[in-house]
Amino acid sequence: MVWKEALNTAKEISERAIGHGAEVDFRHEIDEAVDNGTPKPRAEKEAFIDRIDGVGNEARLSGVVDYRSKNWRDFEAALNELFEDNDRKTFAENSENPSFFRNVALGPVRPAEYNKANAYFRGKFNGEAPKHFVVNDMAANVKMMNALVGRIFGELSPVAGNNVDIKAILTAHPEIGADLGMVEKIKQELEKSEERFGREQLHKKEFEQFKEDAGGSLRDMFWGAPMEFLGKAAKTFGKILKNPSQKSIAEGFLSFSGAVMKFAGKELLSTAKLAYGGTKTTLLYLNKLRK
Amino acid sequence: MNEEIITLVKESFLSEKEKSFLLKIIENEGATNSFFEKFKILLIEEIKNISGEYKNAIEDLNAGFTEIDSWLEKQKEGLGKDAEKQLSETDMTDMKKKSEIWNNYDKKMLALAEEYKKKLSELTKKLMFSKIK
Repeated sequence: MVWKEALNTAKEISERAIGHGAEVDFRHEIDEAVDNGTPKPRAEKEAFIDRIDGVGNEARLSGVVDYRSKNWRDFEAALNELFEDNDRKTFAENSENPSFFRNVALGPVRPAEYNKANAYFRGKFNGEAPKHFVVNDMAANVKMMNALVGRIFGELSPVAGNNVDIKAILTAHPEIGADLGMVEKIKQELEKSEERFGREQLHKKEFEQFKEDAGGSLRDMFWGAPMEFLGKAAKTFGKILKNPSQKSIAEGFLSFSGAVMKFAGKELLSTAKLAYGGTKTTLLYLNKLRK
Repeated sequence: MNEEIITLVKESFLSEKEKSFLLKIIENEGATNSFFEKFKILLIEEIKNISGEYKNAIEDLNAGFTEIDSWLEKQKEGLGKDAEKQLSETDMTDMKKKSEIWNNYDKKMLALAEEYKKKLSELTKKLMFSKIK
C-alpha cells in the first residue's frame, strides 16, 4: 500500500514536471469528493461544470480568454481526464455537422466587447492592436464562446446531481459534445489570432533591424576602410610629432609614403576603398542575410 | 575651412572615438611638418568626398526603403480588405469557413513577408554592388 502511494506520488510529480499539473489537480478534486461520499459520476460532472463556468466567467468579465488562461487550462485538463481522444475527435466532427451543432443566436459585437478585445491586444503588445476587422473577429469569437459555454453549463447543470456518467450523457446528447468541440475550435482560433499578430509585430521589428543593419553596412563600407588607414597614419604621425628629428621624419616618411601616395591618388583610393571595404562589408552582409 | 570640416565630422555617423581622432588631426594647428600639412589637406578633402558619397548612398537606401514600405502597406491593405470582406459575408458562427479565410490570409501574408524581405535584400545588394564596381 505504501509502495503504491509512493509510486503514485512519483507519477504525479512527473506529470506536474511536464505541465500536467492541472490534470493531477482535477483527479485530486474528484478523489476528495469521492472520499467525502459524493458518487464519482456526480463529482466528475460537478468539477467539469465548475471548470466550464470558469471559462465562461473569464470570457464574459474580461471579454477575452487569455492565451495562457488558467481557467482554460483547468477546463482542458477536465476534458483530458474525462474523455478519450476518440471522444474529442467526435466532438470536433460533430461541431461541423449541422445535424448536431445547433445555431447560436448572436447579435453584433457591442462596443464594450470590441473595446475589451482591443485592450487585450494593447496590453499584450506594447500598446499595439491589430486592424479593426481582426479585433472585431476576436470579439465575435469570444462572444460565441461565451454563448456556447453558457449553453453547455445550462444543459449539464440540471443533470449534475444524478449518478449518470458524463460520457453517457454526451453520448445521449451529441449536440452538447458538438458545442464542446466548437468551444475548443474557438480557443484555437483565438490563439491563432494572437500568434498572427505577434508574428506580424516580430516581422516588423526584424525588418526595422534589417534596415538599420543595411544602413550600418553602408556606413562601414564608406568609412571603415579609410578609418583603418587613418589609424595607421595616426601612429606614424604620433611618432614624428613626438620626436621630429631628421631620422624619425625620414623613417616616418619611408613607412608612410606608400600610404600617403595612395591617399593622394583620390581615384585610386576611392576604388581601393570601395573594392576592399565594400566587398568585405557586402560579403559579411550577405552572410548575415543567409541566416 | 577647418570650421566647415569640423562641423562635418561632428555631424557624421562616426563613433565618438573616430570623431575625436579626426578632430585631433584637423585641429592640430601647431604642426609645421610639411607631411602633416599635406596629410591634413588630403584628409579634409577625403572626408568631404566620403561624407558626400555616404550621404547619397544613405539617401538612395532610404528612398528605396520608403518605396518598398509603401508597396508593402498597399499589399497588406489589399489582403486585409479581402479578408475583411470575406469575414463580413460569413456567418460569424461558421467557424469552419472563418478558419479557412484566416488560413488563406496567413499563407498570403507569409508569402508577402518573404517577398518584402527579398525586395529589401535586393535593394541593399544592388546599392552596395553599384558602389564597389
